[in-house]
Amino acid sequence: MYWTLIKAGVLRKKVRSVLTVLSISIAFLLFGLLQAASPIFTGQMDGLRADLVMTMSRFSMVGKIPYSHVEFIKEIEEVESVLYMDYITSVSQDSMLDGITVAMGGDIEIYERFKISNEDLKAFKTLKIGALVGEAFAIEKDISIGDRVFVKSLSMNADGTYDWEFEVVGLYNSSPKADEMGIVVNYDYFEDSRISDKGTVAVIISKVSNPEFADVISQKIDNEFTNSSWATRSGPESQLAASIMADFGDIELIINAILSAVFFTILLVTGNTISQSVRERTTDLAVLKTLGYQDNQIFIMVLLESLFLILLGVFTGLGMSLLSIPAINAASGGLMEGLFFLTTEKLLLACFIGVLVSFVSSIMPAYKALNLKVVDALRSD
Amino acid sequence: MTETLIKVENVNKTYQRGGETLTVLDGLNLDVPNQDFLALMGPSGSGKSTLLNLMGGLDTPTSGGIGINGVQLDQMNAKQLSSWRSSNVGFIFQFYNLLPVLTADKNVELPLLLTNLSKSQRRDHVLTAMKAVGIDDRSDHKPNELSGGQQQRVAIARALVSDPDILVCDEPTGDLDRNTATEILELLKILNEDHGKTIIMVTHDPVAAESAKRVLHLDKGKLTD
Repeated sequence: MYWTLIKAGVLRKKVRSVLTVLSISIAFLLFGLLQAASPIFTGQMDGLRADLVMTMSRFSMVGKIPYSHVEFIKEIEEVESVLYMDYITSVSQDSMLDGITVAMGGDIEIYERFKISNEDLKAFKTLKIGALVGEAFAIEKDISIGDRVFVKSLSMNADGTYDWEFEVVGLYNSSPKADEMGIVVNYDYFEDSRISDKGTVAVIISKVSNPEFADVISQKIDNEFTNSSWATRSGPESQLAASIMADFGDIELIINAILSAVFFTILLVTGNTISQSVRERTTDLAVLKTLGYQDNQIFIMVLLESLFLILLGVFTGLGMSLLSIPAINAASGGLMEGLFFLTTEKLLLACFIGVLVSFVSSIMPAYKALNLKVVDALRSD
Repeated sequence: MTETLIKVENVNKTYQRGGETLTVLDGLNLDVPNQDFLALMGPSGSGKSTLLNLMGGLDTPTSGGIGINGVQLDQMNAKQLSSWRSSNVGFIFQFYNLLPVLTADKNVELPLLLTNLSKSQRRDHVLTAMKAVGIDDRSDHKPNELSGGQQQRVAIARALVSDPDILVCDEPTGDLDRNTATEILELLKILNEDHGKTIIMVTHDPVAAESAKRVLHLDKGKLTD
């Protein structure tokens, strides 16, 4: 019954209905894309682990902390293994934006986000000037195993220059793919060869025996160095990334504010459409009541009509988002993979917002339709 | 035609307009026998449409009683009146009042959507009603693709489709030319005489009123003859 009536209502002014659905779908396309991009801005990425504690300088993301911190962390009972790294700051190839070179030491295997074959890892550990190149970077720069790569760094080499040379011994993959835009070299070689910032690292990653210990261990590390000039900032990988991103401002709040403005506009657009539609159909609604349709059925019909229009817009918008995401990922050469995605929760949230907007925008017109007096609407005498 | 189908007893209908009480029907009594074809005439504001609405269960009297087939409409609430209307009375309007985006058969089907009939049963009923008014060849046309007379036939089919005992017609020929009006009145006569429908028709047109078995005149809320 309702479908016939909804169809009759929606198709009465086709252009208006299409424009309304289009505006709703654009709003939800925006919602979909912003939500998909939100991991980039919030650090809430997939695959971040709760059993890896990251430690870095409290004062700067690229600040240094002494290597002795590594020794301290290794001694903590619940810590199973430790990886440490330092940034060589820039990549040589063409410009600083080409990628990033990281010197890694310790138990590289714990950083499972980097997939490295045993053979390549063995070669890397064996050759002190060995380098592992991210597959995406290798493809982009046409780098092959056996090639030599030249890196210009802010750290001065023992020969008095800022030039560093490495030999590619293997490739690595990662998720997100963006992490493949880099080169990993041996920390020990880098440390031995540099003449500035010696004995420092940028990040320490420790694997704890149980994720439940991660917070306590983070606290323990930070407390140990809290009053030193090498104060640290530690946390489980899954939380620290979000916490660091929060330092730049509450970007999620900004995203939500934009979306709220969009949805408020949609609320007004839909509310106006439904009100207008009900006003124009006063006679039709009165006729339906005359035929025996009850007040509550007319009320539900108006609510459902609004719900239909909005859900059509929601599904169209989300559909466009879902189609755009792989296209955008593909256009980025896969670099956005793992960073730009929509979760089921976000899709359900969109549907919930749609239902809410539909209800709020149609409740008044539906109430008017409910109270419509047939004799007044049809009065001709 | 002796059995009384509709009994209107001492009905008053008043409205409040700007603090003033407006009496539209004033102690009106009327018996409508089964299978009657009654025309109600009178000047504008005489209360004929109000009386029609009361007998059609669209409104309730301020005081007095309206009994139809043993059922007291004045005792019913809005929900009960809706249910009663859906199976006991068919409405025909001056301007047809068809839903513009629905085809003729979908318009006729509207009252049946409230029933438990299956789709195929509804289709059969619709076809029967449309055949009865001679519009079955226009079933997939939308109202704007039909002439006034054809639209009124569709409206009559819609009124008939749930097989009600009573047809309530408010100026059914008011928007039609004379020839088409005559066709529609002939159709109403057939429905009255051959199908046993009780018809109450409000009209300003004396020629249309001639089709009825009885003509009553209202003036200032009272029957004048």
